[in-house]
Amino acid sequence: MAERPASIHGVPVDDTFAEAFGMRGARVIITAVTPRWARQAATTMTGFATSVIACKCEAAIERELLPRVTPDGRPGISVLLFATDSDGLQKRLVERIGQTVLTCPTTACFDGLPDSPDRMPVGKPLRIFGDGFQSSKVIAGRRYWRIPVMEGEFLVQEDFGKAKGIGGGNFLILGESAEAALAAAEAAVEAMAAMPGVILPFPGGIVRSGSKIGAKRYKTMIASTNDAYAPTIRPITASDIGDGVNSVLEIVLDGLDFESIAAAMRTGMMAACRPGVRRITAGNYGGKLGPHHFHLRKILGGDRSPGAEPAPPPAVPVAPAGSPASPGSTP
Amino acid sequence: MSGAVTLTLKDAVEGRVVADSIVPDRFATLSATEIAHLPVWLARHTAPPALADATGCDTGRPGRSADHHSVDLGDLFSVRGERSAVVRVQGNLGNVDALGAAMSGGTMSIDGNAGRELGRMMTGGTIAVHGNVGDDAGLAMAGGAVLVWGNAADRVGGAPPGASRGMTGGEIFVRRNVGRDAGAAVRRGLIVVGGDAGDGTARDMIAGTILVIGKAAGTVGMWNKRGTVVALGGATVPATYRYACTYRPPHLRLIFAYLRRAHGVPVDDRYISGRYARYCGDLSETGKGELLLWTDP
Repeated sequence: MAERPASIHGVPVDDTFAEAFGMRGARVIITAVTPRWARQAATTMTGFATSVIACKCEAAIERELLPRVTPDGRPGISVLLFATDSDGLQKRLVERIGQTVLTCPTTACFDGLPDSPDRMPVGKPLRIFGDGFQSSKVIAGRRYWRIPVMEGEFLVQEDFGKAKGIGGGNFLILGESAEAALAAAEAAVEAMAAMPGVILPFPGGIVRSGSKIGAKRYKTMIASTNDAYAPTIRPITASDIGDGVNSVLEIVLDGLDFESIAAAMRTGMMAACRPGVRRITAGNYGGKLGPHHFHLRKILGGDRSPGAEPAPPPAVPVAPAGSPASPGSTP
Repeated sequence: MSGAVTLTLKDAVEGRVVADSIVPDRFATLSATEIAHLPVWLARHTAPPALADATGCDTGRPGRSADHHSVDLGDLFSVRGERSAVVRVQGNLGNVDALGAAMSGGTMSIDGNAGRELGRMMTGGTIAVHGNVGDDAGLAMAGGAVLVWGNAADRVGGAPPGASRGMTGGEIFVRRNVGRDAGAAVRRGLIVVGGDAGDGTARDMIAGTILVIGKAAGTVGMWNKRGTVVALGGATVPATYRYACTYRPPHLRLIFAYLRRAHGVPVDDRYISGRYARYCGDLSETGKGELLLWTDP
């Protein structure tokens, strides 16, 4: 069995687990004439998508793509978007692509899970923006819609693949100061950047307002401040931060499969364990929230936790495959 | 089961041969003996009696009667290998017609020329011809791919006589030139011509895409409904088309990227990044078709 360290670089790691829940996810490939415009569309598309609690979906940029791996040979950005169910996923994709990618100069939009057998219509409902002037092309077995717009033409794939994903992977960085906690969180985010199959949906990848389920005082609240880790009220609540901790930041991860999240958490925690950090822990709800448990020490030891984790979904190709495959069945 | 079935033409055959039994997915379950006993049709004479009567031909004259009869495939070809959907055909097959007819899978490689109606009504699989092909290649095909390394004669991807639709799916790649009426009445699919195309390209086209890397000669896209004709080497714009704009069509990038990656077609960068003049037509039909002419690097 792999070693399960109790500390990394002298920073203690709690013997606990991050509790995550099942989601449905999609990968969207946005291409444009320059990396700038691809990123602009992706940034706009993933705005206000930090948490399903109020945003109805969680989305962020997965990574940049070189022209040689995008379907149309232009610079691209890969976006992951997650929702709680398939219906919601499809609706959010249509809304967001329609309002933020279709409207952005020079962009085109493609499915990043071409091998997923589970499909949902995205370009198909968007096509009617063309008011009857739209047309389609079947290229290598996949249908694309050409929607005439003032700038020229918007190209979008008719259907997108969806996959079972996981939302809510997390770890908490307990720092001696706000500066130390932020520096550690930034280092973690930087280390995790561009890791395939994972996104960090919160601003800059960092959450300063981790939440607990419900509220003690306001019964209508779905979530409220995680008072156990709020340093300013440490003496008047059941705090879990201990002496010497003056600021806590959380990293939240969503991913297409358990392994991707575990790998990113391992990388992030390793980077976060640096001077000024007192402890690393994770948020869980005693196993009541979700079936996916990321045990910190096992992850750091490079070990999965098969007992706690249901069989992961089939691996999804990271590269968006410009995809051509064999003649007659290709992109 | 063997790695491939190889058919080698024993001797040159006079007249035309209809070899629609040479179909890779059919061979996948047959032994060598069973393959050798499949029928092929010898059509020594081109005019059936009714047509000969109508045209005043003397059907009683030797060599003018309707003399279709079948022989075993093994009489014409030596058969090596069995139970494989990978088929290799060798010999001068310029007068052997209907190879791969109605095939739905597997691969067939033809070392040399092939006759008419190659891949007729095929729905899947791949046929690669390392030579020229006769008329009606990909006739009414619905899927799969036909790759021709030489020239193709008339009516590539076209429709059978009297039919309203030609090709309804799949892909045809011709490295060199094609004859008249390429893509006539095509409903869906992709035809790529590496060289020039003859008169009547995309005539009566319903939908789909025809990409001519050379010049499209004569009339192009007459009575085209919703199809796309791309001519990188230029074409004469019919009077029933109207200029719309000059732009960079995003779907062409996708097609070019696909051609490069999946088929190794050497598409020059200037065509990928270049601008195209878009003409809408045929306005005597719905006007939703298009002619895209490459204009500059």
